[in-house]
Order: sequence, then structure tokens, then C-alpha cells
Amino acid sequence: MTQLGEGVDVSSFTDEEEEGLFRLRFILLDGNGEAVSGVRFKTVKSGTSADPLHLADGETSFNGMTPVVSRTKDEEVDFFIAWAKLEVNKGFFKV
Amino acid sequence: MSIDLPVTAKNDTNMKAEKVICDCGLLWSLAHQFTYLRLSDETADNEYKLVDLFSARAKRIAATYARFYLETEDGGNPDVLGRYYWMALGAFASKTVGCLLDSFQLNAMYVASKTIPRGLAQGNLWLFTDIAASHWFYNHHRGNFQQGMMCAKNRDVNDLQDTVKSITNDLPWADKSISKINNFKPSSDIIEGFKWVEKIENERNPVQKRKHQLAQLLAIAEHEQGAVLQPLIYENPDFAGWAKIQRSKWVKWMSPNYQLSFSHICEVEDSDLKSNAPNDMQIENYQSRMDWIGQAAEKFHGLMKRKNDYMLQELKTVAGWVDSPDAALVY
Repeated sequence: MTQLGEGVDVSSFTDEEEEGLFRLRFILLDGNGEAVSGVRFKTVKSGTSADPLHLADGETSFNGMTPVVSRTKDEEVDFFIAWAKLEVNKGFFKV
Repeated sequence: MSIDLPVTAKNDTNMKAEKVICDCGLLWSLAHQFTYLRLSDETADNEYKLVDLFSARAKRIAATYARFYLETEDGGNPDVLGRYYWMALGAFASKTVGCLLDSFQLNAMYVASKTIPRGLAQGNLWLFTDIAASHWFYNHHRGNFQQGMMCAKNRDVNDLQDTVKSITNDLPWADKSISKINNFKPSSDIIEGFKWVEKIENERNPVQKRKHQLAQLLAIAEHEQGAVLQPLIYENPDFAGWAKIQRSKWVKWMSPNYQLSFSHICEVEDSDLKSNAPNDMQIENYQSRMDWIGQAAEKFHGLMKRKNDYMLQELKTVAGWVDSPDAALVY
């Protein structure tokens, strides 16, 4: 069982659609209800550290969905966007 | 206001999909991230470094503008090729900035002052952040640009997600740029420019379409020159002062000529393929500069009709500079 907060390997989840099974996903939508795809995200068990936050679990699919991020009933999950890190050289000659 | 992350969901329902509704601030954050990552090299997983070389940034910017025009940029739509007409002119303009930054005259001037090259690089970077983000947004979330959540009118650096806002505030010259361009709040000209984009998309009459394209180009040009570059660099007393020195007879011989060539190369012989600024143009003066830009736009517009194959080929060449390399040593 993958423990959220300890590195979620989304590829390890299957995509079962069975009744009575708890499968949690997030879906990113804009104000018109249209999918927001290609967004890198990270999920952790609620309240645990998400650092390093820029290291994503995956990205939202064409329909805005993440893969399954929890299979444990009543588990709470925090969803973050994994924004890229950027280094800017602030040397004297650079700006 | 941007949404608060993280979003927490409880796995308490069979096959639950928790909705995260992205507001304008979050969508603009994605757009901003697109712009600064385009000017960066990936150094590790989801970690990047902004390229240092000003002319490499200018080439990547030119490439991105060309890709938007050609509809080969992320989210582009070849069925509506020609809607981003300003982007084609902008590609040649940013290429020219790269040429100026590389030019011998300017490097010689480097010894005396870095005001001009820094000003050109500053203007190019922040104009790119402003205008490329708008086009990326329109490519991806057209329904929430001028309609829906109307994000075109709801853009403000303070509404970006914290990480993106922090990075934006850390970009070169941010402290003397963002407030001068009104925190990225839209001008009436850019709103008008994108209304012309919609008209171009819907126009089937080729004569009318070309008229719309020129109107789009001029509206965006007024935005970029009046709302961005004028307050950003041309009203900077140091930049304006150096521009005046360049016009003096003692320095003019070694100063670069203001010239826009419609080619991927810096200098072209064929006068049909370039527009020279009038001798009396004052680059720091908005109206003087716009008079020349109007002339250059007319010439560009003619070439896009008479030599369309040539122009598209040149733009495709420029579009190939999207990964233009940084220099090992930047001074």
C-alpha cells in the first residue's frame, strides 16, 4: 500500500472502476467547467509535508484528471500544484 | 484572488473526483510559468536556470513569437493561422534586439555604459512576460479570456500563486519593472488587440481579414510601445540620455542604426526587406517611435501579401531558435 506523504508513485495505481472501491482523484477545471490539462501536481496525506514540492507525482490528463491518488477509505489527501523551481543569476553583470 | 492550495479531499465516496476550480490567478500563474521556463534551461527534474545571455533570451523570445504566429506553439491551432499577426512582426523585432545586443557598436558602448543593452534586454524580457503570457492564456483558455471568468481584465501580479509570484518578483529588473507596467493589469489596447484576434478567427473574406490583421497589429503595437516599453525603459532618464548621445554627431558613426529587417539574418541588402528608422527619429519619444513603427508595419503588411512564402519561411527559421543556447561566459 502506498503511503501518501512518503512519495506517491501514481504509476503503481491501477485504474479499476469497481463498485464499492474507494478511488480518489482530483480534477482541474476552469470557470466554464473545461479541463485544465498538463498541470504538474503533487498529493500527500493531509497534513504531512509536501517538500520538495516541485518534484511532481504526475500531470493532469487531457480531461484535467489526476490518476488515482488514494485507495483508502476516509483518507484525507492534500493536492498541490508542483510549480517549477527557477534559479536566476543575480550577479553584478547579469542585471 | 487566487485559490488557496492545497485543496484537501476526503476519500469517502466510491470513485470520487474532487473538483479543483482554477481561477484567473491560477491560470495566469500557468501562463507566467510558461514564459520564464521558455527562457530557461532544465538542470534537474522540474528545476530550471534562467539563461544569462541577453541575446539568447532575445532569440528564444523571437522564436516564441514566431511559433505563436505559425500556430506551432503549445495550444496553437493551424486552422486559424494569421490571427496573431503582431507576433510575426514581433518575431522580427526581437530578432533585431538580439542583433543589436550582439553588434560590435553596442559591445563597444558596453565599455562606457551598459544602460542601452540592459535597457533593451529589460524591455524585451518584460514585454515578453506580458505579451506571451496573454497569448498562451488565449491559446489554452480562450473561453475564459474575454468571456467566462473574463481573465483578460483580471490580471494582476498580486493574484498569481505564491511560488509563481515569488519567481516573477525575482526575475531580472523586476523591482523596477513590474510597477511601471501596472502590475500586468491590461491596457485598453491589448483588450482591443484580442478583440481583433476573434474577428480574424471568424472572418472568411480575405480582404477583410487582412484589414483586421493590420488593426490587430497596430492595437498590440500601441499596447507594447505605450503601456509597456515607454514607461519601462524609454522614460528612464539614463536610457533616454544615452539615446540622445547616440544621435550626436560625435557618436552617431559608431551607434547602431535602428532598422527592422524582415529576415532571420541581421543585415539584409534588399531595401524591400527592411525598414530604416527616419534620421530624425527620437527612439525615446513615443510618437516619434510609433511613426516609424507605423511605416514598418505597412511594409511588413505588404510583404506578408506579396512575399508570403518567403515571410513564412523566415518565420519558420526564427521559430527554430526556441532552445538558443546560453553562453558559458556572460560578461
